[in-house]
Amino acid sequence: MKPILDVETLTRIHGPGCPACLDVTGPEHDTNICRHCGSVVAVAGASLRLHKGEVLGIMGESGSGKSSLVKMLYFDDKPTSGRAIFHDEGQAHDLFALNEAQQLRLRDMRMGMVYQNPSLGLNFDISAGGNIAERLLMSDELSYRAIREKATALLARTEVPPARMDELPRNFSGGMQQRVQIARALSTGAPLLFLDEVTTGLDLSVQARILDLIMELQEVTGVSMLVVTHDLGVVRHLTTRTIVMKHGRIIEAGLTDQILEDPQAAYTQQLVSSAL
Amino acid sequence: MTETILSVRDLGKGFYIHDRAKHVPAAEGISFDLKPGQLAALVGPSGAGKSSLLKAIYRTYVPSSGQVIYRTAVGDLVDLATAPETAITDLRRAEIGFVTQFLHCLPRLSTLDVVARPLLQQGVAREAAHDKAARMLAALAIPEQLWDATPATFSGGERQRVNIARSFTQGGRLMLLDEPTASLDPVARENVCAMIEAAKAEGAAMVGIFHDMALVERLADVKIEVQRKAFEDVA
Ligand SMILES: Nc1ncnc2c1ncn2[C@@H]1O[C@H](COP(=O)(O)OP(=O)(O)OP(=O)(O)O)[C@@H](O)[C@H]1O
Ligand SMILES: [Mg+2]
Ligand SMILES: [Zn+2]
Repeated sequence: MKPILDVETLTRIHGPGCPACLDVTGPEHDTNICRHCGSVVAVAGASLRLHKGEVLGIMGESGSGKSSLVKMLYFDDKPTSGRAIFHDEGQAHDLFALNEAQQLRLRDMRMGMVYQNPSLGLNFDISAGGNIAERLLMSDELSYRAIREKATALLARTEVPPARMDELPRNFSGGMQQRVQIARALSTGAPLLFLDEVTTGLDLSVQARILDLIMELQEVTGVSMLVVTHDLGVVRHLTTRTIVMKHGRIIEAGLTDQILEDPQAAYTQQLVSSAL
Repeated sequence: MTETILSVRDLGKGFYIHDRAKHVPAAEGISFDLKPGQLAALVGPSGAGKSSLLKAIYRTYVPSSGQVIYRTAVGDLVDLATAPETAITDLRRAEIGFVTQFLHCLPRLSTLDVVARPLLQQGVAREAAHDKAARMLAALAIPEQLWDATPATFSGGERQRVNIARSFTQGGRLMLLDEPTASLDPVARENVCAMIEAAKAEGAAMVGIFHDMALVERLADVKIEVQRKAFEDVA
């Protein structure tokens, strides 16, 4: 398997930071707050490799740093230190060494993000179709007709009725908003997708259908995905490997069935058994 | 002489439960060799650790000791106990199958799609995959009227057969069977046995657990006795 993303000792500290930050935080100190300077160590020394076509889960309790990690990779936030290499179209992009224009280009065309909160991933003031069109325009697609056709096809693929294409997504149900977000994320054919708690807060039956849809699209497109969730069902369904985070650290990584059935770390054992 | 495909050496599995600061032994000191077309049956009392051993071979459980040397289709020797996760994922997709009684399935897929799916994932053409899936479903006597429906609504026994059909459609050079015939009626059980025999005849190696000793006598080439661990003996 070829790598698509290599993350090396990625760290994000919110606050002034001090030399002791990393030494006094983490699972063994049971906190992510530095007692000397008050900084929050959201992510510390996180390393991982994602392979082409692979779906990797990131789980852990609230505040463990899952979203922080993914946000940096999608350029929503800047790391304090660390590197990430994105292998794409024969090139190795050193993500945080790129200039802003280069970063935006990758973000708009070669990556996609689906947020838990649809208002972050969608423009609520323009139609569902417009949300897709917006992204297609950034990717140099210029003909109005081609864009409209493509947007219709994408929405159909994520099971948004074509009749609703011209409606504002603000009026959609949560499940439907997620479908539009997924269509938007997929619109440029990006090889790398980030999903952050995409089914949290939805009805169970809606959750199941969204998961099915994601799985189906993943199989058809072969897109690589980092899937953030604290839902063990999502992890079991979607992912083949999983990493577990606590207080900003990756404390365990393994095959998903192994993480769920034979967790090694004390914390993962708790996490898995409390969900049974 | 055909070459050994699986060589299990002194395999052991125990669990460390952090909460209770306790080590729980599940199985230890298991060794056997398997050639293509052979079936090894794990036999022993309930709680002896048979399923744990099977899961340790598949790497759902991390083995605590020993080696699981597997000869791949291209002739490499891989220790499944320690191989990188990506190597395990590749082998699971292409060569090593696990058959349980339980079916986790997607509510939106038809039975035919569920069964054909592993082949589609391997890149087999849709028609060929559906053909093979249909043959397997027919061999397990799943009525054709049900093939378009989702197995989510099936009875326990029907689901189990769909699951077995899927596993055998995917096939594999090494198949791990955890009580594949439990809770099936005699007719269905006979169909599954015939399927196991057919896969063996095609050269699949298997490690299986059967609660019925008559099946062990009929299907197994090798019998592996698994003893229950005495808790007191373990420090
Ligand atoms: N902009 C910020 N300023 C200060 N602290 C922050 C900021 N963003 C995140 N944090 C802190 O970083 C830590 C990790 O937060 P993050 O959102 O990554 O957690 P998470 O694992 O995604 O949690 P959840 O499951 O609740 O979404 C938390 O302690 C959070 O309060
Ligand atoms: Mg989050
Ligand atoms: Zn500090």
